[in-house]
Amino acid sequence: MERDSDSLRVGVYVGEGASHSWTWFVDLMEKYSYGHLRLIEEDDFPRLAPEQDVLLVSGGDTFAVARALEAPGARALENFLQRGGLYIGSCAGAYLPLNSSKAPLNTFNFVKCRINNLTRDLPPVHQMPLKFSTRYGCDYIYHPVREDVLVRMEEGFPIWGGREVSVPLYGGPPLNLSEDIVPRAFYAGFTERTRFLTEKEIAKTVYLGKVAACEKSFGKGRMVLLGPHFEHPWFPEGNDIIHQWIELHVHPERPAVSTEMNKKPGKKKQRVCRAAPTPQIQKDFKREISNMRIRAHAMTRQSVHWQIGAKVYEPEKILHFVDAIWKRLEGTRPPSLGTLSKGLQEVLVEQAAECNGLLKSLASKIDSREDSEDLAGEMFASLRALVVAFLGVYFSREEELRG
Amino acid sequence: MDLENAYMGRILVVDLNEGTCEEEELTEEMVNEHIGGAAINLALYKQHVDRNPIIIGTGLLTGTFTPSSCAGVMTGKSPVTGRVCHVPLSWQTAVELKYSGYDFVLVLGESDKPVRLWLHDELAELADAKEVWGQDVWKTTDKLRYEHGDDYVQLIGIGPAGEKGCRIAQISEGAWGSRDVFGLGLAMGARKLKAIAMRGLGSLEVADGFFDECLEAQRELRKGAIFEKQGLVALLDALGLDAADLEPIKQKVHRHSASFNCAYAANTYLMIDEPPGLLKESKQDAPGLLLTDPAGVISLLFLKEGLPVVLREINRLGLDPVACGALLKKEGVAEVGEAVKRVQAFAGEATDLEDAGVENVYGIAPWPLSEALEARLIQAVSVFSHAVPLSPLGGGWADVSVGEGPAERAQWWLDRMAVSSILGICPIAALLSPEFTIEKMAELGAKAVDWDGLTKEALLMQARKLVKETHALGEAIGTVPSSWASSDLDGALEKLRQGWEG
Repeated sequence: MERDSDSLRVGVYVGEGASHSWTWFVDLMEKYSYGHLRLIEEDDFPRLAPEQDVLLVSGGDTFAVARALEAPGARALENFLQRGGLYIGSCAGAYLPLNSSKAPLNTFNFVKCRINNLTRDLPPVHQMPLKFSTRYGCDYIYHPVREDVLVRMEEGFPIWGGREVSVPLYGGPPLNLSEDIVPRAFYAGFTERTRFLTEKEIAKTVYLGKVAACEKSFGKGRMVLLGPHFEHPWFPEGNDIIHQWIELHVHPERPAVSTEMNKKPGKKKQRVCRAAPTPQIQKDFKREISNMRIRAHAMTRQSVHWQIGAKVYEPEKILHFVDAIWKRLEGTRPPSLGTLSKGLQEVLVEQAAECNGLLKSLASKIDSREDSEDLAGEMFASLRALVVAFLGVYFSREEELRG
Repeated sequence: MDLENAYMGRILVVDLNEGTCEEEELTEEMVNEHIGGAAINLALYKQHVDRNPIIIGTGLLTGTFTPSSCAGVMTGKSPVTGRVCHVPLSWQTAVELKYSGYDFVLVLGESDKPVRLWLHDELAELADAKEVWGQDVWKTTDKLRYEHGDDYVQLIGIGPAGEKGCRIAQISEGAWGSRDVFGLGLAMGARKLKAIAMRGLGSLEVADGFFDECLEAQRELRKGAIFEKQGLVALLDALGLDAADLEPIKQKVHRHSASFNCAYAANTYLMIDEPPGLLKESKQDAPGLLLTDPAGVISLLFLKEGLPVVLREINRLGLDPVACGALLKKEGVAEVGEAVKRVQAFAGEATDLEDAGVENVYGIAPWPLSEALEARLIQAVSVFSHAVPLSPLGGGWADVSVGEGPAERAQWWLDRMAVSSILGICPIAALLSPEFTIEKMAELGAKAVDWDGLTKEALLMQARKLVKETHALGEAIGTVPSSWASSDLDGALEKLRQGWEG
């Protein structure tokens, strides 16, 4: 595959089962100026092969993703890979293609490789019990650590070969070596920011020396599986590793160039508003998003969580979604709403107002200590839809601006 | 000058007659000319004087890492004195305003129906206030915080006193009063502006090395006059009040809290309806009250054990506690139940100190603290709030190297108040910590925005200009009480004025 970054067609899975972390992949693609970004839902999978060059699947509920895509989705993915597509999956996106005997995961048996965090007897949990384990048949998939871990990149990897980098782990797999995969990074240690959910010795056994990132070729294509979230926006080294992987796939002969290696933090100049007039409809949209942002910030100070599907959601996730819009309303980029038709602008404003209303009702239920799980599910669905709609508009506008 | 290290770059212009909110740019030229805070407020006041404006402003250093950079200032024509006045804002109010995206809010005209302002993320919304009009300060605060979904929303609001034309109405910062002794609560009520709610999630840039310098300054302050001291009662102790008078308050102290980035925790929560030793959350909504205003406490000390209950009611209704104390004293009311009833009556009518025959200086409620000539001089100048103590709070005048001349002492106080109101430094901190010199403040300001021109001399020149120009605006309504009138006072006032001319 030979394509320039700005013509590469990148799809990010945002459909059923995807958690908020897909917004990190969106950030990363924007950061590296990958041109044609599409947000892919389950219904878009049949058109994967002809329409996308790269597919990014981040964290979430692996079972829910598999249920949403079903066997046709798995076939579409295979076709995409065979025709030269690059699949990068982190966390749930890494579990999804691993061999499994359990439906509906068994339709995605692309990689013969065992995970090392499967047990029948759970060790004692020290903190975050809801994040510690997930039932898997008679067994449990368990997560002895969260937050930052150290991974060592395999020697031959462009730029980062032989180096240790810090990346965040939120339930992604440690993989055992297998002939089916080419390991590219190994779990190498922990940091001061690692949170141990159980005994440190257990964590060492589960992770250290195990595969943190690997790849497997399929026809003309390639599958990259990442245990940790290399795409997390606070981890520029991890971001650059993903960038290198994409570059390696599309330009195997081109020398690698890093934008993050030895980079010194520079002073970021904040834009000071010069009181440029903003159309009312954009103000209305911004107002709804700002009100949601304030409410979401307040909710992060409350001890509350919701079980939605197999995943536990906290108010922080609301903030992640809202910020995915907010940060694109700010800064020096041209306003993305301004060139839309009035009708489309109004639809977005209405959608934001509806979502804001749900968030307000959710806050009210929390205050009055009522059960809010169903409402939270409804609100997250509405919020996800809003973010997808907004980013869809935003990136299509970006493409227009690039000509 | 790196303006983005100190300011958001926006002035909000709210036209209550038109019901509109517009933005103007805060230019580098304006900052160059006036620096910030009360000096820019005054410039905006003069520019729009025909519309009787109220301006809420932030200082150059408000909300930065500078020690005690909590302060803002509200400027307007006092319905009590007839003069332009500057009321300091503390707590988190001005910081929240700046981080909401607005450095200054200029309110023009009057609304024909009750309205409220909601500022957030560089957005300003003027909304109908019928849901909170008629409500007391607490209900208004709670309702608007609930409406906007965050207990961190800060408010400048009024209670029924401000709505009903009461001349001793006070603006309230959140639930627990303010340092407004100029009746700005009435000024807001007359404009039918019930509240300004703010939530700031913005941020400022930081100059290289600025954080470390501020941290060092903060460490120095902690080692200085405030070492191992906290709370409002300690301030009253420092002012030399009788320990026996303070005992009923001391017995009810539950906790102390500081305003934004202040080294000294100047606010004290008293527990009234629950034991002061309670270490869990009370089931009652307001089991006590937060003391934020030493002047108000002093004015009500004669109520002894009844003080907290009466002051809580005063705060709830949005009244000036200093004025209430003077009125209750005049009426000879000392029993708590009767005092509460009288306070409720004050809020329900156009209560006025002069009508009640309470002596005042140019209409201002007397600060019952000092008979010293410098204190009377400061009140006669009537520019900054006299709810801020009128003398140094650390080791006294000797500690700040000021002599015995009343004009010299009054000038020291005015300089400290003016500089802190321009920069956004807490006025209490400015009196508490002699180590925090004007030179040090200028140095931090210059470092913050990379502005060599911000020197001690430039700051003092701006400060005296501010005092002189503010003092010259408006007509005095009240008169010096006959018991105060003396050739000494007249002479010292003249000397003070001549100093500004120089």
